[in-house]
Amino acid sequence: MISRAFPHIKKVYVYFFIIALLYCGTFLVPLFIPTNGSIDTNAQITTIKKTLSEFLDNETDIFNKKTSAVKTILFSESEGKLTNNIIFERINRLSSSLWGIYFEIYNSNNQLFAWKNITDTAFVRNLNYSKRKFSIIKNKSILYSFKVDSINVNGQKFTAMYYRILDKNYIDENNNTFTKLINSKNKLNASVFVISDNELTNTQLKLLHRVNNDIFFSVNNNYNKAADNFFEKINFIRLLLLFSFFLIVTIKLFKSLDNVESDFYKFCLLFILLFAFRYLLNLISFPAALLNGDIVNPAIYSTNFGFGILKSPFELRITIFFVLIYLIILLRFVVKNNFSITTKKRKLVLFLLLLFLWIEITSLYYFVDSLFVGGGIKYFKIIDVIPNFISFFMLFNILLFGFNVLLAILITSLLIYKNYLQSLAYAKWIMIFVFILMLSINALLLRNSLDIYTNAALTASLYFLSRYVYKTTFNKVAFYIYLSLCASFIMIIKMGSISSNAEKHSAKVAYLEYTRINQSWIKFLIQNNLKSIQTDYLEKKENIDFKNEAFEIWNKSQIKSENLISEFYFLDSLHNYIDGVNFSFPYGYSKNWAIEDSIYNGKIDIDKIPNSFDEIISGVVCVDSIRKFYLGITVKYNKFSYNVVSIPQIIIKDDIDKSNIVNIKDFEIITLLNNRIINNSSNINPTITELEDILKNKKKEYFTNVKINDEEYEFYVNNHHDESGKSTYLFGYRKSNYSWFLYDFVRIFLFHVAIILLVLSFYLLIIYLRNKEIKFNYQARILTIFLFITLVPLLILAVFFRNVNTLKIDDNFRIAMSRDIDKISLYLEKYSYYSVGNLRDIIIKANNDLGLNFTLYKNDRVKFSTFYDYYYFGNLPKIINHKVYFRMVLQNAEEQHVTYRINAYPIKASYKKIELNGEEYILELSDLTNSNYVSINSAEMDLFIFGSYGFAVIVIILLIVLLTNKISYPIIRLTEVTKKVAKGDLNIKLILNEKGEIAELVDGFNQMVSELKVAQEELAVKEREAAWREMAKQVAHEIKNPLTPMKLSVQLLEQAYKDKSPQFGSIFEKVINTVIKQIDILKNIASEFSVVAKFPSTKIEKIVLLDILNEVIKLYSGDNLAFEINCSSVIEEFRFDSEQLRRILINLIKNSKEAGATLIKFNVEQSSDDTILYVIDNGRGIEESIHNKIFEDKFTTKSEGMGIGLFLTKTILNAFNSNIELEKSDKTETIFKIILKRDNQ
Amino acid sequence: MVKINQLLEINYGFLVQIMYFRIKFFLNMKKLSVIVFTVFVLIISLTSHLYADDNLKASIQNVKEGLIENSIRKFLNIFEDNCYLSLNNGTTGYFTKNRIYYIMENYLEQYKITECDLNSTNLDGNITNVAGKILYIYNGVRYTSDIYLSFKNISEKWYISQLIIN
Repeated sequence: MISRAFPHIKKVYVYFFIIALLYCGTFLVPLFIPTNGSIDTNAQITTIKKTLSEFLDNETDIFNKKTSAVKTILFSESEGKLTNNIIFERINRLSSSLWGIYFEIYNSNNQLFAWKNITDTAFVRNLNYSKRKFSIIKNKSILYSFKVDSINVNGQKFTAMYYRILDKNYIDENNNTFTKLINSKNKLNASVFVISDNELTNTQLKLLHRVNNDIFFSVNNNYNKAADNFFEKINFIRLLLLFSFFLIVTIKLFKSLDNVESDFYKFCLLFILLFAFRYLLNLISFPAALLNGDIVNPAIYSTNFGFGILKSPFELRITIFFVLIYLIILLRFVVKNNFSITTKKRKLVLFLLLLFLWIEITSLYYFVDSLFVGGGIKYFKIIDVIPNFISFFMLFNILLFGFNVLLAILITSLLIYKNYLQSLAYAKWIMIFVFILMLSINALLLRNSLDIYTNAALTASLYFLSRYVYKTTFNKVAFYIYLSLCASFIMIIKMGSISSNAEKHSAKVAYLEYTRINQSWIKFLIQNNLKSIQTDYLEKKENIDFKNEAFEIWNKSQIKSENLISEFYFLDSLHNYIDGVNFSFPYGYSKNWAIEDSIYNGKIDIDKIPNSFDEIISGVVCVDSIRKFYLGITVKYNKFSYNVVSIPQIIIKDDIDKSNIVNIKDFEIITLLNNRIINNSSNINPTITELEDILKNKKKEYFTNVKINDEEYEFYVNNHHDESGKSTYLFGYRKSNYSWFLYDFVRIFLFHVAIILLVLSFYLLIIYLRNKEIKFNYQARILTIFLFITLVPLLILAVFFRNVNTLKIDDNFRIAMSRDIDKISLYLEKYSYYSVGNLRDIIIKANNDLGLNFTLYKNDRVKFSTFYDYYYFGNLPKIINHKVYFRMVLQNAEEQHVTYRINAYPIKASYKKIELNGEEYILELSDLTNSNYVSINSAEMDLFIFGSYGFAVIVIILLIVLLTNKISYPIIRLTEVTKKVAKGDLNIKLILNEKGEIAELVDGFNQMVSELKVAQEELAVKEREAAWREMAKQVAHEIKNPLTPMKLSVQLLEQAYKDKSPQFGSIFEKVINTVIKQIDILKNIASEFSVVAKFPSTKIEKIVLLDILNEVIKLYSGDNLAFEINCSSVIEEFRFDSEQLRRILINLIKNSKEAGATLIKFNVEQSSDDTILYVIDNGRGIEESIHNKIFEDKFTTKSEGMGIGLFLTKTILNAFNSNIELEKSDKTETIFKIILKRDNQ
Repeated sequence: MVKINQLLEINYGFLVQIMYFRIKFFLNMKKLSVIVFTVFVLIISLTSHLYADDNLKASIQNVKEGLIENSIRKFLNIFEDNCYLSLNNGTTGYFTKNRIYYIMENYLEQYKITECDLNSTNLDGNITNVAGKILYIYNGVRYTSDIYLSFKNISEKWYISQLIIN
């Protein structure tokens, strides 16, 4: 259509014109829509109101259904009175879908009767809730769906209050769960906050006014969704247009490459072309710009190399894909040319090949290095057994990269071997030497230590793969499976060997992170935080909840993000402590602000704690100038220790990616001041003598090995000088304790195997869809059966072992917790008995002395807790877990172990009854605030089981493969040999080192073949005699044929002479011509038969089939015949008579030419014993009815033919244990298959 | 139309030929020419490196402009090589200069910073801490966040040792 519309312009230019027009058009579009970000406020409010209403209706619906279900279960009729015992039993029977509903049930006396997971609902009881049916309520930072219901069961009256948590604003203020909930549900892109009336600012819109004036929804009003969507679409169209343009240009250039004569330059240009296209895609960020998330996040993976084409996991994949395309094109080309290079500049090409080999080896080393330096070490320390998507994506990238590099190295090595080394003695050993030399140069130039394991794996893989492709072809699926497995193996070995470097890098990063939080930074953070608080911050507020205010300020501060050991509090006009929050801030370290400190703003005090290196950095600011309230912030700092505290995950964002920062606890850290150990956060106690070398060394930073208690440690050392003297920081790790374990290796290898199987399944599916069947050979079938038989029991065993271990770990965990809970109870009972201070002081003392955090419940409520703030803000339920209450209070159990969840984090807790000052309490100890119980978690255990069982699986698979080969090898050999016998090769003998039935089978087979051979020889003698007799008959017959016209002509001449015919002259001339012609025919007959009768003496020598093909083709250079040679693998030299082979080829070409062929193709393949040559022409073809006669003697379809050519060809080939067959012949093409036996002596 | 067609008659084969001769020319160059060419390329690559500014105010200004204009190159060279980066998209860690370039480029693509106010500075020895606020648009919605920068004085030049957007 385009050609018709624009007849004078090439089609491609029309495409360009259209693309350019559309691209320009995209810039005009914004003229027709508003672009200034202004919005139709009313319309937007209506939309969001509608969306919120729909959401609330939906929430009401779900909430009502769930609460009705809960009500039905809890309040179903029972025999007798409904006790709380019965209700608690029923709570335990609630299905998991109802676990998200919390409730508290009050009896007619307004006493709490039963409950489930209550957080902090005291505020609700202050409201006039009896009139409400459903509402949204907010307390502190938590948002609930809420409902009150009255129940009457057999005259018993209850009031039930149900809750469902919608949002916890303290988790992430800017992107709260409620916003996510509404946006994902309604495909809306608004920011929705739930705030109180007094929090509403001018920039926010009051949208929906719910019950009792306490809740508002607000959205930011600077949003134009329509415009945003529109511009996204426009950008998408622009990207597509640019991509189309680049694609068309690249395709056109690619096609033009055919014009380049030199193959070398052609591949150089192809490389430049693909690189340019890849780079252009990177410039327009296509298709990366259309994606988001970790897949395009440079923090996950990026490297300095590559001008941005390796800047994210996705870009890396695209680049690897481009390299793969290049390698496939290159592979096809070199295989077609049998890896031969025809150039005059052989030295230059050799230099370039060696250079490429070095680059390929180096790229492998650089890439793995970049995975550690550029991507962190997270891919190799995947905590879960099943990796997340991005880890899986990167593992796939690693496999693909290894595949590419190994394929490139294989191609380059084969090119060097075939063209420069093959003719030399010990060629294979020289090639191996060259390869090892390149590896050594690589290590030398990169200043790496020689990586023996990787180099050995690389050399071995290369040797194995080269041997494989020499024996078979590149077309076999098995070759690519072997290549992938070798690639995985090499990459993993390399990653393992480089992990020591990664540990070094980690030690330095650990030091940086350790010292990043310094005095200057803390001072600045406090100062900045105080500065951001307005002097009238509290002025407008009545009934101030100081604790909550302090929590809110801490929650928004950078001090929280840095997890500093801190205290946020309010002071009154007399500088007395009112209330506040503290995060692991030591008891007794609180700052005492003197009354004379009247000017507070910007003032930062640093108080040194006597007899320690601890410092208290404090600042204070006035927040209510009328009532004189002050906000104080105090942070504890110690130059020689890590100043970060672990804050429970229930109150911090769960999406912070801290995997790039090393876990400081993994290192042995020792800090020294003026060569004296100040802080030792390690499991080792080095003596000063052991550290002598470090103490003497004055370098600013370095790595060193130190032997401590006969164990080798590697340390990163940093010396720092200031006014207090020389501070030395040592960050070390035990060298034998690298993070690289067996199961890391096994796990990644198994992932790679899974990827390979996935790709293989995909390939088999395509084959099945195309051919409607998949053929598995005998070996593959045995392998599958064995795998099934062995792996299924192993899997069952692994699951069983895991369950047993889970129970064991749980038991150990309980024992450890019971031990500690006993310790606490004894401590509390002892001190309360002697009445040392009040209970609160005893608890604080126990917390400090025992280093354990715990909670005391009185009846059902929290009475004391060492982390009471978490209860206060509703992060933890203030009422005891319903299961514990049921078992310990109602059923009088003494001890309980329970696992419950807060914000999806599982918390394990132990409970014990204790008596203090005559009152009964329940003591709770949980792993939420006591991290010392984590000996081995379930993820680590899964990893261990996966590792050990994975290793077993690999060993089993290897054994099965070996066993399968052992079992199937005789059958496979027998099949191969039988096929050869079927083709007429009776000289063959099957030799197998087998015993028993297989040996008998082999002997029987060999005997059968030898008997067949004797019979065939006898038959051949008889046939030969018969043939000679027949030939003699034929010779006589053929000679008779010209003799008759000769005789007749001579008789005619005699008659004319006798008759003195006037035409004697012309008759004489005619007769003479006839006689001469017939004599020529006789001569032809004689020469043809002489060829049949007398073979030239055979001369067997080593020949290169492709050379002979090229020589023969040259003979036909003047003719209008085109030739093509294709090889599917490296073609080995073999022994044959070159002269006879030429004769055969000439004969076949002559036949094709006479059949009107214009193109003759020679396709060469190689099996283990034979070289197979297919001669394919596009001539008229041979009629099907005579297919079985063409190799017979004297059979011809030509008027002047003798019927000897093909007979002769077959005879010659058979003499060399080879054969020729007509594979196919029709009007379009004729295929002759020549099987050349390679082991001719 | 014919003229246009003639004008566009630079076929792709010709382009390929030009590239072909370029490579051939390079490979056939005499040794001296190769050395001169290589030295030239090396000089260009080495001198293209910019150094950190000794003027702290100018550096802070460059950071501000760079963030607003989505041009990381404006302040890329003043990043220390093992710089701590913590962004509100979840990225946290120590990164090299080049990686910071890609990470910040990716960040600023998604978080379009419209205003950047770096008002609070504190000089403490050879460290200067800077804090402020940024206004950005993420998924079409406007937000504000705190920004913190730490500059370290190394050989009279100021380098960014940490950048936090929280």
